[in-house]
Amino acid sequence: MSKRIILTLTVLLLFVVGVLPVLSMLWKSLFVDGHFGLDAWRGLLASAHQWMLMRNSLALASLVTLFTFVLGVPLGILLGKTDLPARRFLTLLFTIPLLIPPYIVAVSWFDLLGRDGLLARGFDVSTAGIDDLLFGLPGCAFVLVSIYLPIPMLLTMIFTRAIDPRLEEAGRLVTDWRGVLRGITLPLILPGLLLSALLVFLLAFGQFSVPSFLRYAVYPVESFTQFSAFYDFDAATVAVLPLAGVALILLLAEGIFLRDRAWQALSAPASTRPLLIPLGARRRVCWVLVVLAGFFLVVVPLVVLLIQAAGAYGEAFDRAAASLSRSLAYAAIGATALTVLGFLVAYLVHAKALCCWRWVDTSTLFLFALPGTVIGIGLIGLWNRPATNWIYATPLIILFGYLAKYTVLTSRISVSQLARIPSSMEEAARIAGAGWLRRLLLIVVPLARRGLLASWLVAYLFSLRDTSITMLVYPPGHETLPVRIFTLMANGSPALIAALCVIMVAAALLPAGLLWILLAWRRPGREEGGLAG
Amino acid sequence: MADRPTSILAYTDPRWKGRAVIANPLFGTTTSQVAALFTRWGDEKARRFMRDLKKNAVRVATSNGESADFVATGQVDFSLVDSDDAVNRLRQGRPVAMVYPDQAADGLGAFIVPNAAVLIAGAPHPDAARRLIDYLLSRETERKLAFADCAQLPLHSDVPIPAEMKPIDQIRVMRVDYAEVARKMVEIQSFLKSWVGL
Repeated sequence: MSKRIILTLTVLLLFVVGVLPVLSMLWKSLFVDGHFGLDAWRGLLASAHQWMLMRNSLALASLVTLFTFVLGVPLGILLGKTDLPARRFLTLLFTIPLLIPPYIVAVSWFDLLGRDGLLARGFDVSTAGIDDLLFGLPGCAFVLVSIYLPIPMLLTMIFTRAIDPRLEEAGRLVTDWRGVLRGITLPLILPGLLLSALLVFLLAFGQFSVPSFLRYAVYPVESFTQFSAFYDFDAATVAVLPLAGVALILLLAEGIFLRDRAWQALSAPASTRPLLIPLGARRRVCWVLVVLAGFFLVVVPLVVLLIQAAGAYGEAFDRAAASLSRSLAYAAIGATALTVLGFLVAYLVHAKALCCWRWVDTSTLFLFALPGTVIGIGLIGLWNRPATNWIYATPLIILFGYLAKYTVLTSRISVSQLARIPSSMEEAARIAGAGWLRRLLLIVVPLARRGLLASWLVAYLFSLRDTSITMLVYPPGHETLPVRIFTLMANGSPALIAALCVIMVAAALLPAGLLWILLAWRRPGREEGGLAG
Repeated sequence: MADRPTSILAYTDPRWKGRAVIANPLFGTTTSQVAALFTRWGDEKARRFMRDLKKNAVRVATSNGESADFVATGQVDFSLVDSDDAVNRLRQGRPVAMVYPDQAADGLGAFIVPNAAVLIAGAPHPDAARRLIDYLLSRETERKLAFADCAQLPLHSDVPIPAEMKPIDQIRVMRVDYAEVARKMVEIQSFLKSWVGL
């Protein structure tokens, strides 16, 4: 009984914090001055500006998807499937941009390549041409490629490692590794790779902070502007609906064509070691190329920030210490809530415990695919009323945003962890008379602790770096560090902004590094299961 | 730059063709500035001014901050921005100067954007609201706001201000009816939208 009640409450919570705001937004768009009407939609379709925004958003998302795919898949194979030296370190290095607020990477490249940037000042050269490229589609696409490159890279590593090695061994009997990759490995993981491309497309399509900083007009920036500059809630709502529509269409396509196929190839037992491709004479060349790419895409932006920030740390701490404390606290609380909610959602999905399990799973994915501005505006529309001020005017509204957007991350990690726990464990306890809650807390949770720790880490990082939702919903006096930096950009000195960005990067990477070490302390395979994927 | 523009009319002067930028007038304080011109000049003259801006190849930036950066990096010669945008570039050591426009004896004056704090009738905590308003209007708060990034102009004459700014009693202020400016801001929305090409 307690199982049914707790899982039903979980579904209700997810509905209230995530689905209801989006539905209420859609409902409101169908009314004009209290009467049913489609004027808002007609205006949207008739406006050339809206079509321009859609064209820009699609162009940006397509370019980013193409380049992350073309670069990320070979990189994932090199790091996950070959005997390249220092693969673990290089994987961590390439993942860093994904862990920090995206606009920090844009700030860094601007500090280097802008007209007044380090390059122009240090070498007394004009960077006007590069500056022009940076502020527009090419610059936006370049920055987002460096941020989202880890997604196809990591998913390629996960999928290639999960292929049953016997299939590749059989292939090696008749052909070389190139033939095995072409004929067996890549076809097997193709649906998974397409899934990674879809994920990148959706994230790039909904990106707000980088196009806003680099002045490229896309839908999320437009909806934010309509809300923050005009205070026109109706226009903002209508401006975000196409974003929701595109996300929904792509997820439906994913559900129909990819979802089940993506995981079909993952037939290797958890303890199986993947076959590695010996690079032979090409090992050194590949290593140099990968290191150069990592240096250019990750090390250079970080070093630029460190140089630019020299001497400004004192002022940065003075001006943002409170925001930093809040960020850490909200991210920790958000991560804990997300871990619990994600685990319960995962249990529901894994055990198919309620008839709505598939709907719940799809909803969490849909909410993640929605741009943060959509969720933010939906939350404001639903909760900004006197009766619910205890939510809207407190940090609870930020927590609601985190739960709405990021539950899918913790639930998917927990699902993969639950799949590795033999059902006989829980069944034995049930036969011995243990109730559901007791079984959950004393058997399932301890067995899934590595997955829960990984869930917490991922949720902490995504909550900490969140800008688009928090920027819209934070109550007065509760701004987080990413929001503080973003607002200071209007008038703050480049050194101050760079110092704040360095502090932000440290806030993300230090706890992440500590937990990563904790997680890696006992390698997967020595213990029950491992990290998701 | 020895020869600086001294009036907002420099935007339509052929001497500065293609050398000026203005923030998108659909947003923020630039909307207020344009609406103020409409109330002072009347619709016809103000619309002509806006059209002449386009003829003079004035660039349109997404914000005042961006406009100020365009000037600071030498991409254009001048821009109409808020005082905080100019003050912060000066504090950053950028090669810019702040010009208060139309300061001649018979000039239009510089438009001052007021900040307003209001006590709403029937508010549940009127005493707390009064205390907040008193705090906001105090000399100490005005001093803090003047020296903060927002570089607000104090109204109390004896409040110290940063070296980059002039006290308000030394500025020729544009005389406008702010209630009329507020109404005009709404009224000219469709004109401004078509002006920026929406």
